[in-house]
Amino acid sequence: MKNCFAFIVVLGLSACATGYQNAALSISGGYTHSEGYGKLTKVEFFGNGFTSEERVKENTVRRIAELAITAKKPYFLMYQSIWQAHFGVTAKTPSSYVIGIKPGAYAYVLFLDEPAPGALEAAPILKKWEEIEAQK
Amino acid sequence: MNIRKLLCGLGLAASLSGCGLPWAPENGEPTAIINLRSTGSVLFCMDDKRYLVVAGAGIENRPFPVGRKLNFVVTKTVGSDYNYTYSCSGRFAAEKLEAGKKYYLAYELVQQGCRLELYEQTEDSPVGLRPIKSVPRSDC
Repeated sequence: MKNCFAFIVVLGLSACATGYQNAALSISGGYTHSEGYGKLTKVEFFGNGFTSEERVKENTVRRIAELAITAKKPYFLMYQSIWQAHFGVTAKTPSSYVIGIKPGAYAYVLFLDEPAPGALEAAPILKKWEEIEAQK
Repeated sequence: MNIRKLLCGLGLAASLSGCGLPWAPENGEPTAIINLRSTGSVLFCMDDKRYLVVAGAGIENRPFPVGRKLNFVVTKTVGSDYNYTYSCSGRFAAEKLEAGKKYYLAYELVQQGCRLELYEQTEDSPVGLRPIKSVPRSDC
């Protein structure tokens, strides 16, 4: 009985977490991006209080991969700050923070036509997400 | 509370209140341009006076004085939940801006806070933005 109650609570809370969605169309957060930081694009994901910091980071990378495919750039370099981008310090995860109980994540991105040291490939990232979605 | 603590408190309150003189270049005065898209309006201190440069949608590129030390302060409301509103102040001191150059002032949220960074917009950087080294602050 206790396990059943815990399962229902966890299920209920996870249903309240910010979904993978455009932040402009939601009051609970989502993704957004803007260009023109030099040659970089900034991609962000904002979550609500039911969303984990890990999830906002994963969703940020997912959105970056989508933007890369849309731009017909199969690869991208991800940086946690402009400063790190200038010095070529790539990252595997975005930068993240928590305001109160709400997490957010962002990364600066350089989209590429060809593979490069430190670059991530967009297609496998999206494929992983398609598999996750298919299992739901 | 002694008088020094009181004055410190008043000074801090004044610096956070967002008040400052408007600044605009005099005729022919050389300036540098700073893009304020991530900060919005900016307070800066120069020669022991505090100035406010207003920016917003459509007016992101604003002129700033050159050749003198500038201390920037940006305070933003960064979020809210049930009973709280969260704000964070980022500070950055630049030794001097150079006439005719373009810069970008970046306000970034980080774990447990925020930071302010200044970049020169230049093709010399592989990503188009070169970090400007900060110098010790001297807030007014």
